[in-house]
Amino acid sequence: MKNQGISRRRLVGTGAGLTGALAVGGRAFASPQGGASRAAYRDQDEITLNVFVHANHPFDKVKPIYEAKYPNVKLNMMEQSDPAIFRASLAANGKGTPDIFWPEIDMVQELGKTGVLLDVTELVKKHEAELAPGKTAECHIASTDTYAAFPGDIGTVGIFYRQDLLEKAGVSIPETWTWDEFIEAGKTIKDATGAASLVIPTTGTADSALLWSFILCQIGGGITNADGTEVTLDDDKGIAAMEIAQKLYQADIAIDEVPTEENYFAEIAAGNVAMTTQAVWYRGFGIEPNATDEQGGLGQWRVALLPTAGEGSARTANYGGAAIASTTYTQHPQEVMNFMEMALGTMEGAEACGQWGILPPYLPYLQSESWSSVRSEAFGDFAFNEVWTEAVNQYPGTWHKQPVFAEAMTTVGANILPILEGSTDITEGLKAIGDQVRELNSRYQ
Amino acid sequence: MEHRSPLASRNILPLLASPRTGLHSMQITRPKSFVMTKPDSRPRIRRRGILAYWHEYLFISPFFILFAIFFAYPIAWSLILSFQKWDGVTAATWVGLDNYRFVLRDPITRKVFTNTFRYFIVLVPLGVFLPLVFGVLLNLPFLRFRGLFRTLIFLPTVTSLVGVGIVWKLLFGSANGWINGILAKVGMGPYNWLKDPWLAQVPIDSLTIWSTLGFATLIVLGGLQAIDEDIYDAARIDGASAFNIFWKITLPLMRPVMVFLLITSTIGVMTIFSQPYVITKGGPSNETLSPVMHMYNIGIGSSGATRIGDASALSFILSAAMIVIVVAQFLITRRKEEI
Repeated sequence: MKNQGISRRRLVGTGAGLTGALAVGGRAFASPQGGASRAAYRDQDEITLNVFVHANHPFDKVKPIYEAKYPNVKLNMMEQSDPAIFRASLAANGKGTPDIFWPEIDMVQELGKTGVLLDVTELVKKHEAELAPGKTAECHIASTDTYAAFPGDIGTVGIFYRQDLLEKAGVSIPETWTWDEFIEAGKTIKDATGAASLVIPTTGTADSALLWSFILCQIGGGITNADGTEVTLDDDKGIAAMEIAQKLYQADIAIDEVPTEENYFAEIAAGNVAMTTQAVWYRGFGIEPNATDEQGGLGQWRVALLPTAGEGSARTANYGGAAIASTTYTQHPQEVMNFMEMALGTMEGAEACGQWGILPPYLPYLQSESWSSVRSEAFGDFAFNEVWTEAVNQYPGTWHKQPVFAEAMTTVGANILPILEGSTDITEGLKAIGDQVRELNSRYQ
Repeated sequence: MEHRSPLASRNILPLLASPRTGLHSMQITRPKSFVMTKPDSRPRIRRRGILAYWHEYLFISPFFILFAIFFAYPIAWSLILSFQKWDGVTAATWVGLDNYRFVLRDPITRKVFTNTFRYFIVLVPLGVFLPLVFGVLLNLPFLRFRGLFRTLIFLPTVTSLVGVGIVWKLLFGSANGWINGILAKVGMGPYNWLKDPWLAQVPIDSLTIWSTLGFATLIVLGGLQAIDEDIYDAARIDGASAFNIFWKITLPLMRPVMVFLLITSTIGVMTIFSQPYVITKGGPSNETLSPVMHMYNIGIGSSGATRIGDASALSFILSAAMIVIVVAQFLITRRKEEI
């Protein structure tokens, strides 16, 4: 019978051949610069950090400054803002997970609790005195007493208003005023110009709950407590915020559109908006692109703090605002932290981000001439950033965005309209919403 | 002693051996001269197994490999996930039927199934009736520009639903929307199409009909053209009117096609996603939220929810509901056919 096995000579020959091939291949792979020695190559080892960003991002302006300071590190800006893609990479044990990304705060809180985010406590503590405390608090994970992200964009909320329309109606915004006074001003403006002073979409989505959430944030309430174990949206503060929101809704001074959609932009461009409560980023998002002529209010837009919502309330609130984070999967934690520090913990980085349009948390920059001197054609010579600096000073550190936050806002939005219309009692309506959100929150514990 | 059947050479052996003929107990043996290759080769196939036909299996393997990777494995994994609590990051924990219990108690689950019923009562009858009407019209022998009309009606099938959804949103959106603009010219409106719980159905229903009509009409056309012309000729000779021909010949013969449309429309309605997602985002107040959209929202949606176990459980509840309804439809329509 013919022997089918491999001969000893063939075995040795094949083994030697494979070893040689691996050695040659391995050397070629390890030394892409041909004759250069491995030690010499290591000295100039190039590191690439993958950065997940959305199109047109403030980090685009930080990139050249960072790469100039750290020439061996290249930033690979990857246009990817879908959280599902990011989550899929985490689910695949970090395969494809970026070194740097720009998550919303509820995602920071959710992932921070799992320990998958890079612990940046030391870095944040090093810069704590220079960072806006309200924003820094958002990145703090209460259960582990660590920081899971470096503070990023502060989503302060104020009132964008048209100076010309207010003058036409004989209305001026005082230093301090209440929401009741705001309603009176809104009615006067509407009578005189026909323009609206609020935007409350009746879509029954999270957008419908925004105004209520602003007021809740102002008075120090929240959707949950700091660590997300308790739902608090239907407590006394939630009810107080809803009472104000109901009055605002029933005042009939609002436009019924979604503020981030085309129809509302068209209203701005048509001169039908005299005042609108929006976050700082709305300047570049909704005002400037639509205030392109006299009708849209070119040069007439201004910014003011929110009216007070009662004694001790903040004159600002929160809407959006991300942070810089990385994961424990990164191979270059030091380079990642260098980037975080440069982007939002130094004057040059904060200036680059500020020029792009976000509100950086770096206080020395917010107090600098460079920040306050920013001007925009839509706002004429108005120093809007001075208002935002004041908003940062008042920014509450009590607005906790825990993992249930987004679903809670959707639930409030779906059920808020009967309350605003007055067909459902505020306390009962909010209690029912609170119970629904408690059920949902139990899924995140 | 062997009994030789003279019928064996006429390929009626299986008929003779069937229980209905009562001859199944008869001993029928083929003469050696009648032996055909296929029956005799069967034992050999069994002996040699898959290896004997490895090249045939190789040719059909791509389908099975892709099916296993992209269908069977995800479905099996999703079934496992429906019994687990998993956020996509930390280790999954086994929770038994808890996800199913939670989802079935969730008021939004009831809401999405109520919404589905509302879609069902509008879209399924229209999804069967309108293609029949258009199919019959496009099949009229005297119709001119038939090719053009067929192309036009099929065109929506090859357009992006998301892209058209955005156009639909502009058509129906706000007081300045195109539809309200047209209605204003005849002294009607404006209507709050996207914010009124009942009116919000209109843009979603109309987009669904618009986008599915072409393909369904094509199926109906195929069915109509498969009907033997001789049957119509015979009916005409017997003096049947056009209405009688349609009612007593066309419709009964089209029943299999109608059943197919009924079942595909039902499945389409129960898995509707793009239309409410683009036009209303499920609003106002979840009135247009569909089960699949809710599944997406709570599982991997951009809102940040990560209840992957709950979403998986909902997907299997939806599948079970779909199977029950489709089987019921199939049985009901089959019974009618038999009657």
